[in-house]
Amino acid sequence: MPLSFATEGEENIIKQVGGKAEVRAHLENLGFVAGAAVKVITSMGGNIIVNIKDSRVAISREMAAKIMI
Amino acid sequence: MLTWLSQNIGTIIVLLVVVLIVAAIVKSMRRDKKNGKSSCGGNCAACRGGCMHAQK
Amino acid sequence: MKIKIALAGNPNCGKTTLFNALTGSNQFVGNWPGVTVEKKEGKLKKHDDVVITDLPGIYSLSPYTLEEVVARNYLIQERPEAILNIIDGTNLERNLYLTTQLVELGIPVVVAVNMMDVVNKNGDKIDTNALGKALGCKVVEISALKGTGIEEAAEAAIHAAQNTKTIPQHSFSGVVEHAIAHIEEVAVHTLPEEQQRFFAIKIFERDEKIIEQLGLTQDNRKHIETDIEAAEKELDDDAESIITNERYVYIASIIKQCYKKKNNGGLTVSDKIDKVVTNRILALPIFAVVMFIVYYISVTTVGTVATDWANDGVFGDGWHLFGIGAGEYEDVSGEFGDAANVIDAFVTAEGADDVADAIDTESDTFDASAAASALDTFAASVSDDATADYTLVDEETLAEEDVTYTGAELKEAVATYTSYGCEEPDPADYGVWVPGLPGIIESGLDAVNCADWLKGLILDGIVAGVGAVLGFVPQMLVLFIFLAFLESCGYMARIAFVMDRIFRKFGLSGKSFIPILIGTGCGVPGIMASRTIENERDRRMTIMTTTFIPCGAKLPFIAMIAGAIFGGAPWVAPSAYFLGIVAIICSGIILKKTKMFAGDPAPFVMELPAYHWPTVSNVLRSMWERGWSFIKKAGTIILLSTIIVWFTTYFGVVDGAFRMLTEDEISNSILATIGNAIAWIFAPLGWGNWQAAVASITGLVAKENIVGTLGILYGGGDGTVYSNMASHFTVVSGYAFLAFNLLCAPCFAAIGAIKREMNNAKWTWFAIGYQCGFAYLVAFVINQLGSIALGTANVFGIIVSIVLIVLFIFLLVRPYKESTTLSNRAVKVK
Repeated sequence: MPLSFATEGEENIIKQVGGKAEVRAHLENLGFVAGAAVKVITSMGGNIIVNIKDSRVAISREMAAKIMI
Repeated sequence: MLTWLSQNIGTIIVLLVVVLIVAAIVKSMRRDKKNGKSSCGGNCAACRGGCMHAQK
Repeated sequence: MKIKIALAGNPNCGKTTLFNALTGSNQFVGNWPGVTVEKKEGKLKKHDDVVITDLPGIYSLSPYTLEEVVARNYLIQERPEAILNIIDGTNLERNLYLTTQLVELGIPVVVAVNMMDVVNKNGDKIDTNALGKALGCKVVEISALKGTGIEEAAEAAIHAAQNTKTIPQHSFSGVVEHAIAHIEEVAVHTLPEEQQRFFAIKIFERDEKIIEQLGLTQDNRKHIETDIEAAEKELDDDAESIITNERYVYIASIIKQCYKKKNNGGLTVSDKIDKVVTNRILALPIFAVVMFIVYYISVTTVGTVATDWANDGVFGDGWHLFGIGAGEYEDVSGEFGDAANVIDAFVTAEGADDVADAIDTESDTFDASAAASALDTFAASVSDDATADYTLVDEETLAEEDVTYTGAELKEAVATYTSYGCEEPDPADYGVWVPGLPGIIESGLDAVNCADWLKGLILDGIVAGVGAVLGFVPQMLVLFIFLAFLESCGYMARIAFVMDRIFRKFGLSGKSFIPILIGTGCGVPGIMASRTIENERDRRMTIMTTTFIPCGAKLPFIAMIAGAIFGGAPWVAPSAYFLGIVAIICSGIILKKTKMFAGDPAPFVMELPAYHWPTVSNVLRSMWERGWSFIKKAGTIILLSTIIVWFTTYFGVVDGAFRMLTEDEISNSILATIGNAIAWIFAPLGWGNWQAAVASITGLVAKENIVGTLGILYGGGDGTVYSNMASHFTVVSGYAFLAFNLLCAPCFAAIGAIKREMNNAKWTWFAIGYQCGFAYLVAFVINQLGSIALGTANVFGIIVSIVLIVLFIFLLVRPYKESTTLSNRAVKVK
């Protein structure tokens, strides 16, 4: 399911990162790769803040929808 | 002529001071322009440079 | 021999702090050629032959963003002698992603692990030796903020440049290495050995830019393609992702060896704060409260006190040093004032003109003892039960109060009055009194017998104008401290995220909010901050609307309006910001619906740094930098402007002769003539007088000039600046005046920034035109509709206003048409 539906505080593993090549590359640079652990910290109307690779990244709803866990 | 000069010497000196200050200001402004510094917050360094700007 | 060291690392400021620490003030800041990415170079302190180049913050060496391409090209083409790679010790995994790519370049790399102080505080442990071995290069520990390890890092980099080679320790999986070896043979064998691996890997990833740069032939490419596809098939993934994944696996193994995290799994403090601050319901109210506190403290409380001291004290009559004697003087003068009121009441009631003359301190024949005896006689002649009425007028609020005094009170009053020698107490007699600047300067000028006109230039022009502006320095400093604090602690990044949700509804991205927030300090860096917005259209729109938010220079102006016309009401300043934000949002909505700007906003991805207490020195330095440039501006541009304004104010044609004017004649001045020629434009806005028109024009040079100009124009003659202004503006026209100057075109410096960022004259003019037009219409509607409340409504004006409002609402809510062409920021670098 897309990351946008993950429960807060729960740790998940990313299965796939979709989207255009540029977008995907950008996400991957930040650590969103298949197999990486990601945890949602807060969610605000679809926009979420996650903990990934020890850092905090905020992503918008559209982006979160392209990350499958 | 000399009497006029001695009578108004105060004014002349003060006027000279003002003119010098103005000239110094104009010169420093021209210098800033050449260095590319805007006379506002300075270059990006003034607003804690790098941080928010370099972010994607 | 000149050694070039490149500073590379993730975005988020550790680099900049380190760069500043390494180079001190020996920096040169410009742009990378052809692009709007900033380039910073500097000489290493104490090493004349070492040049340090600060590369843009990047997450990887991929070809997708401008920053990455610029950094990459620099490293490949310029081949610096060494790379100093800064990584965030609290964030190793992602930072190392870039490191693994840097070590493949064939340039000696030194890794500097930053934020060691935070790492140590958290109780985490990093084994730098093991890390260095795993990466194949030297690793040092630093804390750029605290200043530790910096020199060692620089020395290590220099040493590496001269002596060592960095050998990448990482191998990819078999089939990938096979492909890479093949590619090296086929395509890059002509390059120096240490560089081959980097290019080969990029070719494997199908990096178009590199392939182009290397000039591979079609044959070569087809040949290589088979290898790549074989690897892709075997690993069931595309080439780029293979490489990325394997890098992360490699990094994970390094981390296991070298990094011991103390806190496992739980939420960090920053996370906990974020849960509250970005909470769906609380986020906006929290933000509103924070902003309100900031502006309340800086403008309404501390600000007002400080500004009063500056305006009435330093630039007025004078003040008590550290308040010594202030309390005493206030009691004393209060007592004297009350007594004077009582005496005044009876003297008027009884029509005792001779007594009035006797106690008149301004009269040439005033004699204290004569006055005293006149009063004693008078008091004796009034019976204890006689009464006299009086109206007390409060100086500040102009509130009136009717009182009645008795004859007994008169006798007491006379006793008090005479005990002060029938003269108002001199504040200089109490405590430590510092006379105001104008007084000092005036006596100085008188002492050298300075001519009247020059005195006028200096006192009524320069001192009045510049003084009016400088009076606001205390307020600005307080505001700047707050802004610096908010920026440094990390809250600003959250704000962009919080606002994104709202902005997205209007087709904008939260990233557009950062320039606006920076713009509350100064519009120029705010406009430049729009560079982070990739979408060209969004970027242009952000540039156009950033200056709607009141900048630091507009603050004195807002405070002046609030003080003069609204009696210091605390809602005026926040309302100005509210107006700015509403203008920005509405402009965003309206423009987004036009063909020029339509299109999806760029997706929002942003790293949020951990919250941390900013260092006191950083905050103070930031505040001082801004404060000083504010003061410098006052001493330069504004000073020059005040001279020009003074000259055009006090010189004009009267009865056919061109000469200097007295205060009553300034409506004949050059300035008035110019002003009157254009004032009619602003008549529908309620302030069609030449003073306001001229003040607005001077505002184009610097927004503070509005205050300076009004200080000169309304400062002469009777009454204070504030009271003179109050008599020329109504509440409605005053607010319309405020609104117009807040929203119209910014100062020349900001216009210059707009021109630079737009890189296009047509767009620049469009931006200016839009701002002025918007400002005009808003002020128009405010004035016309506000006049209804004042009872001075103009029917035609009201009709036009209603039409405008309907049009406005239509533009806001009309359906949104997707644009057919999407254009992104061109990544065209040589």
